[in-house]
Amino acid sequence: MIDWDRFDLVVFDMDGTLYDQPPLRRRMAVMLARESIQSRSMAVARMLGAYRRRREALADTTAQDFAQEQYRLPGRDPETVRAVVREWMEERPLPLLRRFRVEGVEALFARLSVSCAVAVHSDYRVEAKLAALGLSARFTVAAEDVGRLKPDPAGLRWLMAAARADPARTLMIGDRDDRDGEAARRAGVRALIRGRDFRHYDEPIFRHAA
Amino acid sequence: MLPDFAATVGALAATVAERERCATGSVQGARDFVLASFAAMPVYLRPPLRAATLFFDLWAVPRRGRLFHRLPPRQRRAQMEAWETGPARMLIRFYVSLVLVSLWHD
Ligand SMILES: [Mg+2]
Repeated sequence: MIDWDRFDLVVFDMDGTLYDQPPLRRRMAVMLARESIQSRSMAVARMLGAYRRRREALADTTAQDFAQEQYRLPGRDPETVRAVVREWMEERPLPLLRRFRVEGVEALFARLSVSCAVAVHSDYRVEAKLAALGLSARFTVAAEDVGRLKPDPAGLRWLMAAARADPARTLMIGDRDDRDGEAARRAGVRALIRGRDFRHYDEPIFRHAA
Repeated sequence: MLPDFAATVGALAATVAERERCATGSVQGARDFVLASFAAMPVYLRPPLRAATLFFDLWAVPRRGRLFHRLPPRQRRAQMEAWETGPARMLIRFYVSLVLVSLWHD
């Protein structure tokens, strides 16, 4: 049972938490496959794969200068990597997001906003995706804003300071225990993990959230 | 000896995954991802792609005496790479990029 009255701040992760990631990834994969065929090159697919691995590796360390470091891939120009990432991971998915939004999330945001602060905390940029999902939040924070990837609790701490909420009155909702759950544990915050604790926001666990 | 679409996709996924060793993720996951992506493709694209894939599976028979998906890993890779630079390279490029995406850790 969740005592919803206890919370002043509810922090949502973005990818996989506010929208379903697998169907979006399949669409993006097909788009990328077409691009590879048309451009006769696997360069973009390989670069994005290398970038994802770099991010995963950076999440397990505490790299200084993470914002620059993430685009530094062997044998590639960081500016090119940044442009490809922006196009394929930030811009192209936008028009597809809305149809994969998790059931009940809009109503939950509206209900929660009455009595507490709703925030979104992602390792990627938040604003454009949130707008594409037709949602809005009082606070947003991305990894680049705090120079740390989850599970570092820097983003969560930043949000708690901004909302003047203490850990006992904060709830993190995410989809990865090793990232969102671990960040919450390090910050002393309770977490709900999608796929483990719930699947969508119309479930009974959210009924008394207001 | 009948060509098998899902088995061919699985064999291709394994071959690509083996070549792109640095990638994370499982071969089974890659196979499932490619099959699911295929199902998400526009209807008109699926039959030609399926036909080309089955042809790719059969292509090994007169040369190796077996379907592609039944070949040992080294011969699979040789056939895949031969096709990668041949006239039907688009087919292989299609699968390689799907597998590359599927191997990104979530
Ligand atoms: Mg997530």
